[in-house]
Amino acid sequence: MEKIKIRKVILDVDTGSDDAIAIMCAVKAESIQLEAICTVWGNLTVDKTTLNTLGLCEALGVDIPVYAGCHRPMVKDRSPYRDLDNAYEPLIVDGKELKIHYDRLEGIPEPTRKAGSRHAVRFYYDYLTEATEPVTIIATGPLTNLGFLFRLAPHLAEKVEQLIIMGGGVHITNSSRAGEANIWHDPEALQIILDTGIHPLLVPLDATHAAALNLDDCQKLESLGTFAAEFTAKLARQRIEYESARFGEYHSFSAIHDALAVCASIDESVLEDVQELACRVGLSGSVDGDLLIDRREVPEEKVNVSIALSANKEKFVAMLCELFAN
Amino acid sequence: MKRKVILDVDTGSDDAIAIMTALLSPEIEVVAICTVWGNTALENTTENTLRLLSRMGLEIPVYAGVPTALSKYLSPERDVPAFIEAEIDGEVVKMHDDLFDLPAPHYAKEDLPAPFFYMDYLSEAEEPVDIVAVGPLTNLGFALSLKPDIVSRINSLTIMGGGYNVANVTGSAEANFWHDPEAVQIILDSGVHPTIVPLDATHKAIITKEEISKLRVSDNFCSNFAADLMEQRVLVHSEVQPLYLPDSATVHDALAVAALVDREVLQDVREVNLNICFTGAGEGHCVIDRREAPAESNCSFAFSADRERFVNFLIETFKNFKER
Repeated sequence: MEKIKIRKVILDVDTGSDDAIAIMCAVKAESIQLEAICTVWGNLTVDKTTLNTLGLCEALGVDIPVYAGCHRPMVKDRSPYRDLDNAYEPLIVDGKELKIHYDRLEGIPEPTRKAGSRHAVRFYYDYLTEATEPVTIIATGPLTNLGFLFRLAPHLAEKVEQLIIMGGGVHITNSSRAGEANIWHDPEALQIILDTGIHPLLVPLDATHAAALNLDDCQKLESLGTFAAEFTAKLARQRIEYESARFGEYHSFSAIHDALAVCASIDESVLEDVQELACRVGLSGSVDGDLLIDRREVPEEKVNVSIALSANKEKFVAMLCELFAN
Repeated sequence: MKRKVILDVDTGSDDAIAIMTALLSPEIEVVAICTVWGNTALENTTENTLRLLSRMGLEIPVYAGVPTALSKYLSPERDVPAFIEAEIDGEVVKMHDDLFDLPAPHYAKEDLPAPFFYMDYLSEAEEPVDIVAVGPLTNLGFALSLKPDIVSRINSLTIMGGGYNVANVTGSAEANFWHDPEAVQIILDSGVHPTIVPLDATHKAIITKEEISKLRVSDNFCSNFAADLMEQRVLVHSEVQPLYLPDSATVHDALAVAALVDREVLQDVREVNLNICFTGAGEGHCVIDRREAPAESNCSFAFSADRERFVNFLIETFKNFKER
């Protein structure tokens, strides 16, 4: 039998419905040794994303260290003219309030464990300073923790074997005309990361939307009968309910963005059309949070990211089913 | 009891004078010195600080901080060079030499980066601590972003930076604030309510060549080193930034330290609402709310200073150095 290569992984999440599914993927994957989970503001306040993360770990019966991180963007919200309004306002349908991320993950126990006493940025600093083996970081929330880390200690980028980021959109956006939520929430953080030369793998909306789950996929997961599969289906159904209420009946599917990033670390072939591109981040005005790809015939900027412009939906669903079967 | 003080510096000529002023003031115990980039690169400001402390026979812990602004230089349009130097008789004379002509330090900086030092120290501090920050405010901006509750452990924060009616690095900005405007805003938003010692105060409290020679009368390492640095500053000022008295120099950072020991060196200190501009021609500019009914005050801003009191304070304080 082929020996599975085990990767050490740190997750950086704003749990969050799709983050929860991403965490379950990482916990269940044989090829991932989950070293720690750092939390950040984003989908919800950092207090809530931390509680949700701790509660989910408890539901899964794992005691992976959790470190609470930043509670607001590095600098974006210091400018009175930069927009940070939530693009995913709750909707009221038939008297019921629908959200894309509920404050507390439903059906998850109240955590008995607390987050580690160190701040997430300090944890990264200590961990990477001491690390002798390569580590992969998968970040699926605003990149504030890593932005602060690499602003202080850019040399630590050398200790990261791979950084996978769910964020951005080349031909698809969500939070603004030009921005995807994770990047748009803290654009400076991504630019700092890019400036280290770390060359991240970006899993943008172009990929996650190509691998969106529909109600049939939810049924398939439910038939597996495990906690992880059923919980994934439940969260996906919540997201589909919200999105179809917001975008129209035809929109009976939802991208499980963050889980695709974790699946890409298990098997990168779940991503398609991965391109090597030169990218800057818009930091002001109408391009705030935009991935500014050098689109000239002959790009003048240095290639600094791999960006997946599509994904294999069947493979993604099959991976989720396999991960959550037991 | 002595006041416990942390200095945050980008040493730097006037930073060195500020450090010596603090170390020679009997009212103050300097518990640590944090360094930051600014007048020169972080490695230099750290090395200069260690050299100075070593030469003084001290081993106060030095924590190196953040090597550049939180976010400013990510925007190419905001990344323009700005430093002050003059060409005198074909030779470039800088306001801040990269490295001091002092012997190599006899101890090394701490491993812990300055922002983490602040977070740890202030979380654990049993006594109130005073902080005097005289470089770009990146270290404190970083620490207060990650751990806002440390504000309650800061007894006072005195900042040299900004200017209301005086600027230096651009037509509307002072260097420390201009280098990292967002960090200043983070501090103002934190509720720490700093005392700001801006150019309006430091360009008032200047020292003349004659007074520098009075400082030399003490004839110890510190008074001579300070006098050397001041004389170099007089040269640059006379050439590119002449002040209201001939043959004189600013000693910005030392005024902030002096203000902690003797608040009376500051004059016309007003409670104002201050915001910092991050863009365009106003980059780094101090926007003071000047409406009839301004927003709530978030800092004390010194619009002037008592020049003679400050100069006498320096001359007296520099008598205190004793070789160890």
